[in-house]
Amino acid sequence: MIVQVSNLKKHYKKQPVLKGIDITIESPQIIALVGPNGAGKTTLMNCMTNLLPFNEGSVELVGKKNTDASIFYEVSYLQDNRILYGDLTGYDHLKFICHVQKIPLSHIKEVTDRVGMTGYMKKRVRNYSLGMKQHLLLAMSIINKPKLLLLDEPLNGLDPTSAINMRNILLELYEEGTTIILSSHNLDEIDRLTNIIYFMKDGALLKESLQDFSSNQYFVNVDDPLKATTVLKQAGISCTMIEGVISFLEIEVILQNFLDIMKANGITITSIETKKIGAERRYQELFAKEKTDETVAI
Amino acid sequence: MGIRMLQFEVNKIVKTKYFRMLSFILLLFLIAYYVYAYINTTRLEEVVATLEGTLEGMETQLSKIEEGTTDFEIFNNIYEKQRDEADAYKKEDWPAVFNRQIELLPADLDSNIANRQYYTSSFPTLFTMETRRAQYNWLSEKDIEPVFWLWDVSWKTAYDLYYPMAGVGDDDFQRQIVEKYSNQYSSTGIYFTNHVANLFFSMGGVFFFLLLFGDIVTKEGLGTNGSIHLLRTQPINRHSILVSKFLSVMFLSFLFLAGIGVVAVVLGTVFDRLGDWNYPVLVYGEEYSFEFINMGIFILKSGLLFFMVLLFSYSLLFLFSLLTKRTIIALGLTIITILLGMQLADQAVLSSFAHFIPFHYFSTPKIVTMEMAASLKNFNFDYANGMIVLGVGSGILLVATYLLSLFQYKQRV
Repeated sequence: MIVQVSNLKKHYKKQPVLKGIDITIESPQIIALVGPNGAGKTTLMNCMTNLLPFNEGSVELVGKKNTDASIFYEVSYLQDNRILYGDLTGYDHLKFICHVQKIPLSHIKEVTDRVGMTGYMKKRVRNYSLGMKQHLLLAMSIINKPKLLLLDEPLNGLDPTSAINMRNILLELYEEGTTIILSSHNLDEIDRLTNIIYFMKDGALLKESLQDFSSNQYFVNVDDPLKATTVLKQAGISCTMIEGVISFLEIEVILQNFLDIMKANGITITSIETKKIGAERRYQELFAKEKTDETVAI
Repeated sequence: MGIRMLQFEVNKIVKTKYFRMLSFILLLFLIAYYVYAYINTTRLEEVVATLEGTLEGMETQLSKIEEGTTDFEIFNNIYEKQRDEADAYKKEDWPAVFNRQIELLPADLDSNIANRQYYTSSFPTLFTMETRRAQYNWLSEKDIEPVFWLWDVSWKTAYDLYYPMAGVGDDDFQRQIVEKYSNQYSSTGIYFTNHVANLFFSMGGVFFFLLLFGDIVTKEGLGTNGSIHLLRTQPINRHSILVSKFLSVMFLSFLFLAGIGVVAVVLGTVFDRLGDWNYPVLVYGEEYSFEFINMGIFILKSGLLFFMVLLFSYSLLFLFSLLTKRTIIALGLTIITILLGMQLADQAVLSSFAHFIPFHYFSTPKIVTMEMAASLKNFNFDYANGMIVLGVGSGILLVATYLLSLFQYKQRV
């Protein structure tokens, strides 16, 4: 068993924060934790790693109780960058982890190359940008090739190139057998990483497979957008046009039908882009009733 | 694992700008203090020049006295002794110099010692003269160059409470003279280290170290999402985090103390000479007894006792750090507790349990020389008791800290 969380309950004073969370993971997966700020995502991860105590329930990671510090030979937790020591270098952090986890120091170069931080690993962390700190946190989390990797907002501060690199690394780790649980506000990235999403709302967990909700949205450029709009309207096809780009959902319009109509009317398609929108769509369905003035950070 | 944790903690401390800045300030202070000691050191050349000046004056006086008269004989005798003394200084014939000083001591010194006439508190007490002669004998036997001047006002002891003028009263001017000339400086390596030990191994030194390591626990962000979470998500026993912090502070303090000693010795050796490891330091005993110990041993013992004072102070700091989780508050409480402890200890100094109070042992040089014991007439204030009391006190505080950490772990939210 990789993760066994049973009836996990936590409350601050009388305010419930986690309301009986159950998670069972038996084989490697990538799971995304999604929910508004304050939903309890970080609290759940902190409870799972024994950084916070809980009031009821039990947590076992990689077959051991979460109070057993030896789990961290096989479990890594990417937290926010406040855990870093500004006066130390990235190398110092990685060396420390190698020492306490009995990992050969030669792994440092390997992991920094993989993350793309070799060039600045000997600089003090206080001089790092947000993205550089995130790189270091990732390197620190994966240097022990964990069986279970928990990531709390791993994409914070990353530029698009770094975000793609992180996504690729996480997918590689998954292929190597690592189970990944991540919380993120970036629903696009989640769609690219996994179909399994645990939505968190008010301390409760709603497990969903996006295979039921996953959908593609198409963005089509044509040589005559006005004509295309007219013929699509006549055919009764629902689509939108923004700045000359026609977009429609896979579940509403069959792509082949669309192509046939374009061809029949002599309209040339110059490009088609596809975007997965399952997480975002489901999120909107679940959290649409949230107050409009609330920060809907997902 | 333990060594690695220690290494990481030490690394974290020494790489901070704050640590480096305070270390640099301390180095500057040592250099400045050395310059002060160097300027205030009386050199042999100065002593010889003064003696020769006196001889010239005496020669002039002598030329005015008719030869063959009794006055001439007496004055010539004094002159010759003065000349011999000046020659001994020039030749650095220290046994001869000390013999001359011993000759100048009162003739009834031995009979007074035999009669144990130690009742007076007026400078120079019998104890002061006895120890002065014993010091000269020690220096003579070991052929050690003394720290100048070798005047009667250059040596005082804890038993000299009053400073009479012409054998009467307590004269401020006389007191100031003795204070001034008995406070001798030497810029040699060993002796300068002795100056540093006397100055630094007390409350000033404790405050410095508390400032240096004051945030060792609290900077981890206890109770918040601080760097402590990095340590707690590693395969490290929770208690070993605090233990490694404590050990790293003690280890660095030890290195710091050793470093201070090395810098002091090097400064003295480079700009003067190494000095004498076995220069005598007076240690008071019961019933006006005494002994001398090597200055090197004195410095080592003072350093070790000061190390125990630091152990005790850090134990307080760790306890308050866990309690308050705020650097300034923890540091403030530690310093206030020490100052209050010393105040209360002073009030209880005559009690039968006074020597069990750790706050009495903060001025370590006075404990090692037992000057404090002699002043308070309580010879339980000694080096061994200091080590034990500070060790036990620290142990109690550390156990309390451990229990508090267990309690906090169970109570965390």
